[in-house]
Amino acid sequence: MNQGSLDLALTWDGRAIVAAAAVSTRPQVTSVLLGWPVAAVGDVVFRLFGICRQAQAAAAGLCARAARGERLSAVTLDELALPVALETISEHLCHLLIAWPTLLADPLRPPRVAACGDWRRRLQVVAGRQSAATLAAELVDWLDEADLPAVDGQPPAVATAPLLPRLTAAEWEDVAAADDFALRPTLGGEVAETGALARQVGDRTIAHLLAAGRRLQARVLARLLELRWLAAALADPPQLSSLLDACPVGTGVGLARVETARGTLLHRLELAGDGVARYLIVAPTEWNFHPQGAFVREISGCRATSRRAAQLAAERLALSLDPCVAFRCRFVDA
Amino acid sequence: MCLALPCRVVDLLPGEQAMVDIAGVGKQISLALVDEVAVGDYVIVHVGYALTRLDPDEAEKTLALFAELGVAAAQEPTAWSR
Repeated sequence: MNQGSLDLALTWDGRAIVAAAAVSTRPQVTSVLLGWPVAAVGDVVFRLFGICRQAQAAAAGLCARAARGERLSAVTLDELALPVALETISEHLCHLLIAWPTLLADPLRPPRVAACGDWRRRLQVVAGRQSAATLAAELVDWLDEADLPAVDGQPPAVATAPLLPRLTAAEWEDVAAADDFALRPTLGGEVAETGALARQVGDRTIAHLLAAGRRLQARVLARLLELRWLAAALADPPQLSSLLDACPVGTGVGLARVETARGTLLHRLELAGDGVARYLIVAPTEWNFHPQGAFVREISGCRATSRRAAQLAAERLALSLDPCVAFRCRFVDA
Repeated sequence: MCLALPCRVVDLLPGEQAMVDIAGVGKQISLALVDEVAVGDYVIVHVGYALTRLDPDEAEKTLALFAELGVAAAQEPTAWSR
């Protein structure tokens, strides 16, 4: 088997991208969890995922505990959130320091791989909450002095997807029960965009950027704002618990929500005895690359006077939405 | 969902690069984000970068899980797993 990818098909008529389609070839992995004892679910999930694995494992562990009827205190949630927060910081760094500079290919702003590697190593050996907070604050100071990706130039989108509100696990209960929710999630029948932008939309500068149609810049800034928030939250324990929660849905059924670098992650587990009978995972990429989701909606109608410009616009938009698997943009006949 | 498919390092190259074996296909990747990787180690790769180094025992367990998944994935329904 392979890891799969996102195939982003663009129809360009010489003036604009007039249509787009997003097709995922990623394998669904939840079937491998069926029959496992509930106590092993967290470990198996941690083993399955390459990125956001702390968030995935936290969601699985929370889900299992909720399915067994446990209610977790804010203090416990806060402790569970620490590795998720550190992982989110690391993911945001890779996005800002490596992924964007690689795509933009500006010789004056090359990818900062060594710096990213250094920060990741320091984050991985953090021992305890206070040292994490100190390191995160140091990182934010460093980022304030660092060049952020210059993503100006993208024309305003003709249409955008609404931003996903932050809901609790309990509020996801009815929504997540829909049959096709795992692969094509919607909220109230609407597609939505998840990620740092959705979480930071209350910021005034973000609101101005969105009002001006500068959505890519807003997404980049949202990452930086989120890094600042995480640094502050690491120093103020109760705040971090807002990153995740879980609830029992019924007898032997649990649902967990974890805010990851790429957006909201949902797990839902049904037990039969002590074993897994059903398992659902909805990753952020499912929202943002939904067949009618943020990518497709925003790139459709995008003006581009050359094929190269069309491709670059699509690649920049896709990267700003940060899929958790590799993507490829290709053209189909108009 | 990026899967943690272990890739075996088959050659170390200059400039913190390595060649890994992905299901029989060679691919050049960067080792700049991980430390102390040797030929024979396994790594988890995302968009051309090794993100995590796995010891061989751990990698074998994960590969066994994916071998099971390789069968299961082909039979999986498009929505809930039952």
